[in-house]
Amino acid sequence: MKAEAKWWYNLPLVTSLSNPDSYLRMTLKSFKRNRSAMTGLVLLALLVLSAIFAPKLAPYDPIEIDFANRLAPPSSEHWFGTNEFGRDIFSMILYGGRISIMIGLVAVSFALVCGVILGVLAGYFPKIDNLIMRFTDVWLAFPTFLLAIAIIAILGPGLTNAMIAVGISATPQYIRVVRGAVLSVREQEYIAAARSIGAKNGRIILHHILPNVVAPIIVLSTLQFGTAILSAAGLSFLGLGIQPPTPEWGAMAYASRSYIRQAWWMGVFPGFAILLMVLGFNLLGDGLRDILDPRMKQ
Amino acid sequence: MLKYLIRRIISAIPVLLGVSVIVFLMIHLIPGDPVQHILGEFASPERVTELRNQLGLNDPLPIQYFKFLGKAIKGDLGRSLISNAPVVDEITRAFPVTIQLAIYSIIVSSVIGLVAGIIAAVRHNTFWDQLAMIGALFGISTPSFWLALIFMMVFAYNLGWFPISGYSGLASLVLPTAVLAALSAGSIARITRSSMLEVLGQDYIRTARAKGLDEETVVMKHSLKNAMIPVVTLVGLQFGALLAGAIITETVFALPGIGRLAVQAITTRDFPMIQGVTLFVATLFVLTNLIVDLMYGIIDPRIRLQ
Repeated sequence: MKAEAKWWYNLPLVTSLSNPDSYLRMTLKSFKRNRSAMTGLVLLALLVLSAIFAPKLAPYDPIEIDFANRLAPPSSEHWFGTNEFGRDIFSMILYGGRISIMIGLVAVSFALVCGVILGVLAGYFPKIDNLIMRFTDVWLAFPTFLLAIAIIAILGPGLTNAMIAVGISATPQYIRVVRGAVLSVREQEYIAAARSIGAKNGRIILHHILPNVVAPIIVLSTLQFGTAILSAAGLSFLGLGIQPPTPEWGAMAYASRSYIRQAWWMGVFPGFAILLMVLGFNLLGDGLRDILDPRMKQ
Repeated sequence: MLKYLIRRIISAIPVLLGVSVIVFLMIHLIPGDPVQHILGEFASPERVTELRNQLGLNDPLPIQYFKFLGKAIKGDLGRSLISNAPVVDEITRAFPVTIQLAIYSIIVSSVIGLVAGIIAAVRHNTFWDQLAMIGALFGISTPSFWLALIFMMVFAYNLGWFPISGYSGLASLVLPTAVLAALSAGSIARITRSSMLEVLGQDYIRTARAKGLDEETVVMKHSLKNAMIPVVTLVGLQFGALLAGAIITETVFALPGIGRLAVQAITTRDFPMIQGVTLFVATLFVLTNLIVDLMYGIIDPRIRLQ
C-alpha cells in the first residue's frame, strides 16, 4: 500500500489509533522529511552527546586551577582559551551542557505537570474554569523574566531555586494551551459517546482527552525547553542563578564581564553554546509543530 | 465603543488587585523569618525588632495587606532599606531611562519585524522568505546578554562609536536598543509572516486579485489590516518582555534604569524596593495589555460587540 496522500491521514490522532503503527510510521516519515526538525534534532543530539561524554572529551578538568595559564587566548592547547583562574573554557563548556540540559528538563517537567493538571481541570470542569483562569491572568500579569527574578528574590540564588523560578514562570503558558486544547476536544462526539456508555470523568480525561491534547503539549514543551535555558542562563548572568565555579554557561558569561577587555573568549564561547542549544530546540519545535499540529502556527 | 472601553478597563481591576496581593505576599513567602533573611544571621535583636516594626510585620496579615494597598494607591511604596529614600522616588528617577529604551526598541523591532514578515509572506518559499525566517530564528534563540557583550566589545571598545557604559544621553541608548530590538524583531517577523500567509489564502483576497487590483493594494490594504490582530497582541506582550528584558541589557551597559534597580535590590535584599519595582512593572504590563485590547476594538469592530 502506498503511504502518501490518503485523506484520512489528516484526521486527528484518535481516528488513526485503530492502527497506531501506521500513524507512528507516518509521523516518523514526515519528521524525516522536515528539514527544520531534522536539523534541530542533529544539533541537539551532538550537544547532548558532548555533554554526556564530557569526561571523555574534555581535555582538562573544568574546575582545575592553573595560574600559569590564566586568561590565555584560544590556542592549540586551550581551544577556547582559559578564564581568570586558568580553567579551560572548552572543557567548562562541555560540562556546562549537562547543567543546561538538566535545568531545561527539571523546569519544563515542573511547568508541564502543573500546567497540564490545571489546564485539564480548567478545560474539563466549567465550574472551576473561571477560578483557575482568573488566577492564571494574575500569573501572566508578570512578564516571564520578571517573575523568575521575583521568585529568586524570595528563595535566594542557586541551581535548585533557578529551576523552580524558571518552572513556575513557564507554567501559565501550559495552562492556556492545554485548556484551549481540552475545550475543543471535550465537545467532540466521541466524548459524548464515552459518557453515554457510562465512563467516569477520570476515565474520560485519561483515556480520551489526554491522548488528544498530546500534540500541542509536545510542541510547546520543545519550544519551552529553549526559553527555559535562556531564562536560567539570564539569571546566572545576573549572578542570581548558578554560581561559579560550577561550569554553567550563563555563569561563565557572568564571570567574563570583568574581563571583557582582556579576554573576549570568556564570554563569547559560552554564549554561543547557549545560542546553539536554544536554536536546536526552536528548530525541532518549529518542525514538530508543522508535523503534529499544523493549526498551532504561533 | 465606549461600552467596550469601560468593560475592558473594569476587567483589568481584579487582575491588578491580584498582582498587589502577590507582591504583598512576596515578603511573607520567604522561607523562615523574613527579617532575619534580610538582615542576615548576625543581626542584633534590637535591629531585628526595629526592622520588623518598620515593615509593619506585627499586624495581622489582612490588616498589613490593606495598609500596603492603601499606601500603594496613594503612591507610597515604603522606603529603601539601603538608601532610606522613598522607593517611588528611586523608581521615578530610573523610569525615564527604561521607558525610552523600551519605546525605541519596540519601534525599531516592529518596523524590522513587520517589513521582514510581510516580505517573507508575500515572497513565500523564496530565498527572501528563508533568509528572513533564518534571521528571525536566530533572533529568538540568542541570549540577550551575549549579544550585548558582543556589541559592547565591537562597537564600544574596539570601534569606539558609542559610550561603553553609564547614561550620558541618547548615544548611550543606541547599543542597548539594538540588542533588545534585534531579539524581539524575530518573534514579530515570525508572527507577521504566519498571520499574513493565513490572510493571503482567504477568498476575499482572491476576489480582490480577480477584480484586477494591483498587488500593493491587495497586500497593504486588504491583507495587512486583517493580519494585524495577532501581531498587535504580540507587540503588546513584547513590550512587557522588553521592560523585563531591559533588566539584563541595563546591567550589561550599566544604565541607571528600572532593571538595574531590581538587580541591585535583589543582591542587597532590599525588599521594599524589590516589591515596589515588581508592582510597578507588572502594573505597567497590565496597562499595556489593556491598551492592546482597546486597539483590537479599533482594528476589528466586530470585537467590540462580543
